[in-house]
Amino acid sequence: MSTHESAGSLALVSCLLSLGAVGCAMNVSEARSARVLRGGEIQVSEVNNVVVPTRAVSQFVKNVQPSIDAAKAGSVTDEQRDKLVGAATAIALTGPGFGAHTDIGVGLGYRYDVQARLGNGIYALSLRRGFDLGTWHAAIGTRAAYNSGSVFLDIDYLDDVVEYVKVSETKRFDGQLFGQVGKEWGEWGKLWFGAKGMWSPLKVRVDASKVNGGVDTVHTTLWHGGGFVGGALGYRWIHFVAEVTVLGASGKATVFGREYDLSGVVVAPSWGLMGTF
Amino acid sequence: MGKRVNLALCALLLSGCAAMKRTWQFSAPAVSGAAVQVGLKQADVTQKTAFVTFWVRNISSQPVTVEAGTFSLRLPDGTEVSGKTALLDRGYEGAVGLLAKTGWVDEPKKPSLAPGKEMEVALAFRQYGHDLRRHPTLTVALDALLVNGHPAQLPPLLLHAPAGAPMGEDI
Repeated sequence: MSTHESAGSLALVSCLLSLGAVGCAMNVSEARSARVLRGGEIQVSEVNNVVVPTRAVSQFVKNVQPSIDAAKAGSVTDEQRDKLVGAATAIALTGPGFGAHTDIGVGLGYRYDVQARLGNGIYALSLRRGFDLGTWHAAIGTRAAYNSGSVFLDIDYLDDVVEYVKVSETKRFDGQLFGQVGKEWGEWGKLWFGAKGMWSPLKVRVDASKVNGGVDTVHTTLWHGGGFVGGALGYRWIHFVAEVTVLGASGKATVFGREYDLSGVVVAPSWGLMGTF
Repeated sequence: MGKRVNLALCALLLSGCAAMKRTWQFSAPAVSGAAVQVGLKQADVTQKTAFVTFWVRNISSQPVTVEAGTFSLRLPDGTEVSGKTALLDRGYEGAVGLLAKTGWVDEPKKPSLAPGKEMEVALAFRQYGHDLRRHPTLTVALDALLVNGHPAQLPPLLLHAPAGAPMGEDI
């Protein structure tokens, strides 16, 4: 990472912390043990996520500020408008910010469990099949999610960008496949890690009419692939959960006839409380 | 064809519902020794905990003192699980025992059971590593039951899962 990018990352993190930004958190965390719930077992979790997409950071720091200044001065060029559009699109679609969701899972028996995820504009349903490997546990699963996009741009530090280029009416579907392996110690400790792939077809409306552009509807697909590691500490019913997910992102969006590369790396730490009953 | 699919879906749903049942009521035939008989009042077995209430009846013609020590539950794979009384009861008994040792209170009297009378012993057996519901039988050793200060010499109590319960750890 270059000095410039490091500064950008720090700037974004400090913005998130100091402004209390509440934006979209991508639906990438698992935040649960690899051991699937047994029949009738219920799990309720409150999970918080911070999502730092490095591509959006570099776009924002390197390219957008001069364009914002030009737009404020009312003298934006076509090139600067394109940069504003690209940055707004990248930031909206890779979803930087902070969010929280509630997960409710129930064991179906026969080593299957289902989980519903609600919050932060995400409506998701997951199904897992578990396997016991001696003292270790494994699970494979799938999750289908719909992101309403209703919260994508409620991020204070993006106000300058969205003042000139509005990205709205986001409709996004996330299809995930994942595998987990983990171990539990008594009723107090859990550790898990795994791999995840995500396919996200989406539609978004980009309005650049304030900077002499038009309105465009973008249809594209994002791909994410990577891994996660997490753990939980607690006793019997209540555990504190922490997890980090790192995903490589790949995808392109064509806005106003120009193609923008949305690929990069998404780092998503998450934490919360998990109750199992 | 559609009917068969519906039937298959219903069968899947019903089997899933059975496997999702949180609590199974196990049953057990009573066992008898020279002075006492022990039976099962209720055995609610959940995934991690078996809540078992026993009754102990004096079948002799003399009053007897009955003390229930630590009962152990054995799973088919040999795993031993110790039974515990309720946390408040344990705390109370521990406090009384401590005070008795210091001489501040009298030693608690051992419960005496008149001929034909019963007493109850309620224990919880907790084991997180296995799904306790998925075993066809759970064996409770009664070696820790003392009558007049001596082992009651009772055979183990065999708890049987209800008919139709889905068995097998891998469920």
